[in-house]
Amino acid sequence: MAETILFYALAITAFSAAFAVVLQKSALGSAFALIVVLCSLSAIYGLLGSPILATLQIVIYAGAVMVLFLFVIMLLDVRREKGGGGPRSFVPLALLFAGLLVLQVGAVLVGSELVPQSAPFDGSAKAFARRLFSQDYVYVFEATSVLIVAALAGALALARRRR
Amino acid sequence: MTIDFRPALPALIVALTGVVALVIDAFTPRAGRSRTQSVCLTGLAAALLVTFSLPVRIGCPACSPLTGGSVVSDTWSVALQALVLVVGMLALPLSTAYFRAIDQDRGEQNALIMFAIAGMLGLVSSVELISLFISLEIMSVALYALTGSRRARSDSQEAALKYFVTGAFSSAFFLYGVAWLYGVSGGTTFDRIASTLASPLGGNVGCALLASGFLLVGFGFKIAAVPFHSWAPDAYQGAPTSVTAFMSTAVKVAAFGALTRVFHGALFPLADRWIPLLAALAVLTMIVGNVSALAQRDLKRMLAYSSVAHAGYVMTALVSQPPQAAAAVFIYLVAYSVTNLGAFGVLAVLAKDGKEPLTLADISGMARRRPFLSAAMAVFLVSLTGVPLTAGFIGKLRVFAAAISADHAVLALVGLLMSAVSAYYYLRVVVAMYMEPPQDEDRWANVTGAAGLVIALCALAVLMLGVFPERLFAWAQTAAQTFR
Repeated sequence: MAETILFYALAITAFSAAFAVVLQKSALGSAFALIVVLCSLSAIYGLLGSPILATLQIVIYAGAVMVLFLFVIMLLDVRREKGGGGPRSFVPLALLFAGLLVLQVGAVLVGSELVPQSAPFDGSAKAFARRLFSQDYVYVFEATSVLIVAALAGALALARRRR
Repeated sequence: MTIDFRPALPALIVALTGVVALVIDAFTPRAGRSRTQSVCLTGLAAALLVTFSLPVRIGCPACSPLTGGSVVSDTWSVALQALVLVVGMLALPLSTAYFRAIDQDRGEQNALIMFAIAGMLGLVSSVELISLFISLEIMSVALYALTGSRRARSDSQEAALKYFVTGAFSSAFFLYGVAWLYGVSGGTTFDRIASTLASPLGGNVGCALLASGFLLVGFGFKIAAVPFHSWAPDAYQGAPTSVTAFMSTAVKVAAFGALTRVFHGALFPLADRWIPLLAALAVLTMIVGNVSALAQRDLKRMLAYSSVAHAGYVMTALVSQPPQAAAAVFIYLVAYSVTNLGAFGVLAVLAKDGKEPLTLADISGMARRRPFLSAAMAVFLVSLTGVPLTAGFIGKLRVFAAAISADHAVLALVGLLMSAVSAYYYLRVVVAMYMEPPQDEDRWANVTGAAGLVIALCALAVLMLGVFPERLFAWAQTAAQTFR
């Protein structure tokens, strides 16, 4: 019971904060609303029994990704565009596509019975690590390091001053 | 339990070569020329050697390796990895020549090409969706940077940004599809997905179809199929020409390799549902690609729309039964790669003092000053049209035959009609080179050394494959054994 109440409280927080992200006029405000969304989602992951995912959500999204966003916002000084508002012509189109997506996904979900995991779900850090570093995903884990090096080299190549 | 990492060795070797190239560049004196080309060529050759010496599995495109891990070494992966590596070895000298011509020799280009190739090698050998996605990202991230690597030009920056934004968008689609498939099957390995989809799905059919659709959109962006092609002309035009040569060929090879394995392996139980969708996309791609190419004045843009059209031709093969589809796809990819690499390569090697031929006027009368290069360009364009005795003809023959055998004669008909349309814009270039008067002054570079050799090799390959296709057919037969 308490869990259900907590879930709905978190879900409503996440939902309204998501609206705030879109509706905020200042980019900085949007960014902070996004942090609220990400933190509420993190708490929901915790409720679902995966503390490791909850922690990663905070560290990676609310931490690293948001700091990056804030850096960009402050470096570009987006605040100056606050009053302008920009073209509004995309709003109907955006609503149309969002509606289509919601309808589509909703229709699919109504008819479906998603398969439950065969083994009981173990969301602990230990189980997570065991899967990540066992034969299931160790290749992916190692491949990610190549991805990061490639991204670093690419960023260097693009950003370096000409000589 | 120990994991057999051998199937990942080729990608590992290429990635390590990329790191070595980065380090060498870092210690090269500022005034000096980049010395990484030979290192990278050696790395690719070593990877090629390793690819062919690994134990090879036959049959079962979707099966996970018995020894664990997410990548396999089967006939399909070996064939496509070899093709990617050969394209890479041909593209490197072009790249070095081009970046020297625009006086930007000192850069991370070679290392980035290595990383892109490592991603492609992973892409064609993955039998698991997450490793497939990571490989896709390694390839794409390196290519975004390569596209923007002509730093002095704003169109290069613009191309990189467009490619990056649409690429990120397509990755999101792909990932969303992966999530839905995981929801349906409870796993990300291809054999898990295939066996789930083969069993009665009940209400989950909708989820599975939605997932397949999202994956198709993700791949559609990478192969530049209509309506997901809008980035391609801008990216191909703005990117350094040698990079365009590389990415218009190697990316298509890798993406089609993975697409074939995903749809004819993991998603094959749903084939009746996705084949009509794929057929529609193929028709759309062939028509829009060719008709848009007609209107282009810029040579790179024309060739960009032409490579959109060629993605459509390859897709026609995918509607047939797995072994046939795979064989036809492989034959077309080989033919298209050597031809298109050559065509963009000719434009790249002509670059001099930061300028390169961009319009028909720039290359008019070229045959008098550069008879060999013009002859090679003519061979490539004729092959792209699909005239007999060239590789392009063999490729088209096989993909259209595959479509007809699967009772999709309409696809072959559209393909034929569109090939006839394409003759106009391809042969216009040949006419300009051979029948129009040359320009007053010779502004373009004289082609020498390794880059010239690459062009010659490509032209030779186009003719050899066109006249003696038996060897190619035999390779394709072997490659397609995975899909028996």
